[in-house]
Amino acid sequence: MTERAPRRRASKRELRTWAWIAGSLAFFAPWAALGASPKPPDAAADERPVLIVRTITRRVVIQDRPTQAPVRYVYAPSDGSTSSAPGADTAPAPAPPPATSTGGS
Amino acid sequence: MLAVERSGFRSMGTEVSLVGPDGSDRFGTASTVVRALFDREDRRFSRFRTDSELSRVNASAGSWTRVSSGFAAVTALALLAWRATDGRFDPTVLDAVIAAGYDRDFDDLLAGARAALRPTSPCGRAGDVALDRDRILLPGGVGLDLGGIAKGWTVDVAAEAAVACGLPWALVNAGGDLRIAGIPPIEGIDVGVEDPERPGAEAGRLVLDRGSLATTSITRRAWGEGQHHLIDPATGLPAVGEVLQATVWAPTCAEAEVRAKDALLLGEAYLDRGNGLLVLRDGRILTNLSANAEVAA
Repeated sequence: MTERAPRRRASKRELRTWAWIAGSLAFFAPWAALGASPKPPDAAADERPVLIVRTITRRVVIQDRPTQAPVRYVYAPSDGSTSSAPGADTAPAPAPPPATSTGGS
Repeated sequence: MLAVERSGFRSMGTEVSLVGPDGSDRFGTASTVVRALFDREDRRFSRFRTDSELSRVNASAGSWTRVSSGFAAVTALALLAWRATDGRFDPTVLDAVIAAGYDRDFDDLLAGARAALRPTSPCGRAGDVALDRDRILLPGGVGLDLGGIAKGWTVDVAAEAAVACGLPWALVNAGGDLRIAGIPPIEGIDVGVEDPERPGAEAGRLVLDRGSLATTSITRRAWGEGQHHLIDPATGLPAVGEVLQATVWAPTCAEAEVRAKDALLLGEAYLDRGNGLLVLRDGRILTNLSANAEVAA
């Protein structure tokens, strides 16, 4: 008949150490699961179009000796623009829509 | 604000509108006439229709071809413009336009961005085109592109035709090329000049008493970076310069169309030669038109 060795009782220090280990694992386990989960590929972020926003400020310059023609310049309604045109400071805002427009062909 | 009546339709690859006085019982008739006129000239001058007169003439390069009186008139104007602008306006840029990628109707072109199809060389063969009343001879390998000047000429004819229908005055506008015919209201007609870099915004406003305005821009009819319809005949490539958009005045729309292209290539120097308003890359708007403070106030 063999004699079983008496079970050693864990010390308080050992118990505290194991408790810290178990607590830490429990705390970090969700973060590890999140880190291991699949993510969208990084390449998608690299392909995003880069938008360059340019602020356009129009400055109107009327030449010293305007020519006589059956067409007159009225005003430049551009935002924030300055103008050397006589009367441009009194430009109405907003102006009624024009009868027609011209814009390049 | 001036009360007007207007009608619109699409022709020659652009929006066309007729503007006339409000309340005229002749406006409907004038609209029908103007539309029929544009349909007819589109069939004559389109390079995208294989059955157009222009396509037939281009396909016959190298031999004498009989042409209609309208075709001969526009070709004569184009050849005169080539001489008057020292070659900066050139009706023989067809090969260069196609090489740049503009080989189909612009609505179809926009369906897919495209790069230049192939390299090209300087143009300048207009001097070799022979026109003898109702016959024309193009050098072999040379094609005519009368798109802009044909549109301007059609605007001129259409505006006069609208007045002949009984309207006191009429304004025909085809994609920014416009002409007033008849006797307009004493206060003139307001014309907004669109900003080439801000669609829907005005870069300025002009008041037109008579004659024509034409605008050409390198930001319109563009299908990629540096790819647009305005060819510099000196290089055969889309023009690169300080001007984004040129709006010019001339007595007729055909002449204004020529002058607008010239202004875009010449830049600021154009204002020593004609009336206009230039929108530059650096943000400035240059004009030699007299300011009208009374209208603005």
